[in-house]
Amino acid sequence: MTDFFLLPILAQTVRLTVDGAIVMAVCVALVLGLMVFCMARILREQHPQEHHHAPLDINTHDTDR
Amino acid sequence: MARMKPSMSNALAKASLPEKENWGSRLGVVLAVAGSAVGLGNFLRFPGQAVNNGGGAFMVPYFISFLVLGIPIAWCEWTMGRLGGRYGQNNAPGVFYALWRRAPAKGLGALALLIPVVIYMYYVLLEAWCLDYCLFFVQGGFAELFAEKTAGLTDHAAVVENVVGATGAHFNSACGLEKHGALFADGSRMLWLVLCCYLVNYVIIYQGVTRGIEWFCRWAMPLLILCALIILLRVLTLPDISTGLGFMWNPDWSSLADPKVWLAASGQIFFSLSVGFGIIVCYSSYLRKDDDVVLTSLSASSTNEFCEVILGGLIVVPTAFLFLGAENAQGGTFSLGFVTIPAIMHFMPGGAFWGSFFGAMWFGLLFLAAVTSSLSMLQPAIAFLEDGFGLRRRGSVAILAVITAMGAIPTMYFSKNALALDHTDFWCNFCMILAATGTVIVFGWAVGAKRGVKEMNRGADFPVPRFMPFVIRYVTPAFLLIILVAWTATNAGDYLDGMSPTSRSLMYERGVYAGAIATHFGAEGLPDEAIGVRTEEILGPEKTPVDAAALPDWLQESQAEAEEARADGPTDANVARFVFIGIVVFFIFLTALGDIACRNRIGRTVAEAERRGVRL
Repeated sequence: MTDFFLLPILAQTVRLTVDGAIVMAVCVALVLGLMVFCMARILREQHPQEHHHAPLDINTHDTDR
Repeated sequence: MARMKPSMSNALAKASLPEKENWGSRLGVVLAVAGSAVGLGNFLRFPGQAVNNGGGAFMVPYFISFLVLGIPIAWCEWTMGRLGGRYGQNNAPGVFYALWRRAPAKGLGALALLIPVVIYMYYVLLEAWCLDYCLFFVQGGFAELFAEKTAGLTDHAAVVENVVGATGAHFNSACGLEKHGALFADGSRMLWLVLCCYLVNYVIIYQGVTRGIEWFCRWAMPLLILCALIILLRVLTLPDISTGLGFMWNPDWSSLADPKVWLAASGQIFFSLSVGFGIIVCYSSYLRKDDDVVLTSLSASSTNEFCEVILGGLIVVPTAFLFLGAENAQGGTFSLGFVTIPAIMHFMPGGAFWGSFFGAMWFGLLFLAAVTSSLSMLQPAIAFLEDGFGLRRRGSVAILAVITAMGAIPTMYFSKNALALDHTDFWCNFCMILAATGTVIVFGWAVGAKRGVKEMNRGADFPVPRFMPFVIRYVTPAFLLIILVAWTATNAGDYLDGMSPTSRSLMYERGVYAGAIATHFGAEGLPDEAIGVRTEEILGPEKTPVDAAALPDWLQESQAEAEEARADGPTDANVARFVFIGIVVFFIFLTALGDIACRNRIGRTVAEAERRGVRL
């Protein structure tokens, strides 16, 4: 590929400012934090739920006449 | 995967209420709803909106809208759906009938049924575009095209111009944007790809909620995110990527004073989360009585936000700016997605192989995102046919396939400038805001915000905030009404004008002259604003006929082309009218169908559920 591809555009460059970096980092952290929080709870609770509720599905026939 | 929390409810009710399908796992429902929400809008629309509306500053109204609009509406829809499911209803007309037995509920139910079906009619075409681009990259078609167009060029600006020109021309020809009927011409690959996508969608949806939708989303969503993360890693390790990130994320705080920025941000949140579609109501109706909706809904929304803000926000615009400059990084959804991104791949370090590799991966992930979304558009109507008329899945799927084909074929045929697609999309967006407003009002006022929130908290992993009833009753509906009015006022004029043969002819004629004027003065180095002023001087005020005799000599060469364009006006205006009338007629048809179903089968099922003790 071309080795000159960046040069002309970098001439009219806009660097990431401190403001921009902070906004980007905060947005990424917020979204990632929310997703990790939700997914961790969803995944963590799947197995305990199964074990907790499984006995309710078992028909022991102890009330059969 | 673990089964969902089993319900202890209503063993008796099972005796005569219809057999109810349920989601196989909690992760499955999260991925299915997130798959429905994650689509082309996350990866293409969001970055375009952000960069054109203040960059990083856009995220302030964006997150505020997420909190007061996105999350509350999603919670309302999830709760209404789960509640409707207890009445044996997995379809929007049935859910609204069960919760609010008033005439407007029928219209609302029909609207929630209409939107996904009509969107599917053009969305399947977008799906085929993504598949076509993916295959073209795999075949090395773009690499050959770029090699041919850039042979011998050493000037960067010329390389960019030729590469973007080549992808633009490919987009026009492959997607049939040059003339109506192009996709039905001999040798059109797109027609076969649309058929292929159509078949894939219907085969998956035929398998049902658990074995079809959930199964597909459980492997497609992680794969999609993995592909996007690989691309993101490559993008973030590009030399000087901080320039691209700066272009996307540097905030212009003054833009926060502009109401249009707030409208754009709230619109983005609204359209991105797939609320107001009728899809969440349908999907959540497959939950059990005590299944959580609060965390599950939040998880689906946060997955959508992850794909949008992190994957969408860090990939497309920064790379486009880095390689192609500001002009090419600020386009609309289609130009960014199908013209700019393929062009970017030419400049990827590592040669043609890596360009094709990342290109195929990118369009592959867009294809997966489109399939997961389109599956969700089919399920509400299938559920309606099953619940409302007692049809089996095979019959419902067959009927829906015929109905969607009746809309998809004209949409494909009238493909010039994506005319039918564009107009259908506009009216569907309008209906979505209307439906979401209605849904929140029904939840906040007819069901009752406090009672609704109590129901929301049933089985919840954590309770919703105490101020939520106030937000649902006042803040969210008010916000939605403002969006409805402002969005309609901003956009409806152009689309209504587009239905007038005279206006459209005039618009086409002026378009040809305006293009020629821009080229003429652009070559002289005049800035865009000055070109705009000169255009108005030469052509006269907007929406007035062009005085051909008064045109300068150099512009008279364009007269034949302008005449030809003008002649297309009436045809295209008729297409726009056809779309509008078609949607109105379909809405009336669905309202009548919903009414018949509610008076008969749905009414009986709801009455039976109530007799067995199901109450709000």
